[in-house]
Amino acid sequence: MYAAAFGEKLKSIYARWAVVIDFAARFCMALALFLWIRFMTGFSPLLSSVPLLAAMAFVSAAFGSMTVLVAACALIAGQAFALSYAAGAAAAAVMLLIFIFFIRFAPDDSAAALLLPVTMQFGLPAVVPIALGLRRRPLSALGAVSGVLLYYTCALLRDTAPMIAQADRGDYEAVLRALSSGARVSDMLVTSLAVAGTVLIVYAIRRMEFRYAFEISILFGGIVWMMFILIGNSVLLTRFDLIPMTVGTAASVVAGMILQILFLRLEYRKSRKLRFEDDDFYYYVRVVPKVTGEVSGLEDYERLFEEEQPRVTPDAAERPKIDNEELKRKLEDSLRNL
Amino acid sequence: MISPLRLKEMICLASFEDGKGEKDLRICQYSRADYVAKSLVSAFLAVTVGDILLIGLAGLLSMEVLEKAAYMTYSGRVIAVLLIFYIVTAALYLFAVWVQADRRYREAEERVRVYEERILKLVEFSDLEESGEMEAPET
Repeated sequence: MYAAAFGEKLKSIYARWAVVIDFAARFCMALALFLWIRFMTGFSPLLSSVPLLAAMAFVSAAFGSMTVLVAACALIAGQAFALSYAAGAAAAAVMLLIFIFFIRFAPDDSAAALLLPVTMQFGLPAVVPIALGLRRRPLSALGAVSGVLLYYTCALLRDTAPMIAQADRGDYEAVLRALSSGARVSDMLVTSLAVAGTVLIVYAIRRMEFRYAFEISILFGGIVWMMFILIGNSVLLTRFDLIPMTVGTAASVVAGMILQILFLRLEYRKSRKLRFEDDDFYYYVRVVPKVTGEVSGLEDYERLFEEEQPRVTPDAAERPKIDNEELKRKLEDSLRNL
Repeated sequence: MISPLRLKEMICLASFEDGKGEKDLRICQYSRADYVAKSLVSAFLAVTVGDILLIGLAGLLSMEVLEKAAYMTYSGRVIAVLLIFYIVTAALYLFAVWVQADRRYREAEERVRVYEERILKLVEFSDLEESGEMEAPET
């Protein structure tokens, strides 16, 4: 009850400050990711400078999540180049592969790729897949898997940095051997499968029409995540520490429940500023959705207009409808005049 | 006096053009076949580059495989395996891109159709308003 009231309050605040809140959220997300990259790598003093990272986060946040992801990938590749040219080339290749094989199919889910490494660092790896399953589509798993690849690329650079630093700058073979020995391919594979499996199972259950479907889907998401980790530890001999992982998954389930109550259950809609014109006027309109309204997007506006038919005088009602061809001609005329 | 109904209609259209509509209108500049073909061409280039990177990376990171591949006796088999890998991944990738592009075009086409209908409706409202046959609704 209180949560719903609090959610409504949040919703009204969001409706009023949507543009600012969106930008601030993206900036925080970008800054957190960039600082995490600095923490994991930090080989280049220039690319590890906090003011530079903050400026990068500010600029990239203004352009959207995809730009933040591109900047993060460039940052990782830059840090790897500072360590060794061979490591830099390998990191750049991985970043390119992420875009070619994953982000291309889920460009709207780049935010998941940004959030996942940070949540994995804080020991809450299942939060992002659960949230994606609750709110997005199955293909969103590709965005989250990109985040897993980013995480393990940075982890590989961090783990092998001492060995690479000992090798000569031109000794590419030693660098590649170090990278080869440090690559945790099984861990990455199991985590990627766990992410994809969690997204799919949460999505499948929450679409079922029964009471508490959302809550049960979150719970099952946590169980599926742990199952993948256990299978990975026993079959692929991965080295996940089970106690922190269990605690983290339980915390992720709780976080998923909180997200569900506070944010995901409600339809947040953005206020927007629009500018358009007709023959007589320029219109500068700020569209602010009503807190309890049910209108969003073109299709929903359509519904609104179906309910609110124009009142036509009796003469006009008897008049035959205007022909579409004639309307098209008039439209072309008016466009030509414009 | 500006009719609130016409204003709402214009807001709706401007809202569409400002958001998702911009991309939809860009997609619908092409015919479906052209749009899908364009997506497939870029996908073919992407998967070729991706496969080269993937094979290179896998080879470099598993030095033993690379050393084995260096022997002439293995080279023929290695090339055959790599070619099969490339053909399979390219086929899967192109199929996925074809499905995605086709679906995206259909969805965009539907939204643009609604958008065009609404433009015609707006013109109709304007005509009715000019001829004084439509009263502004109470708001």
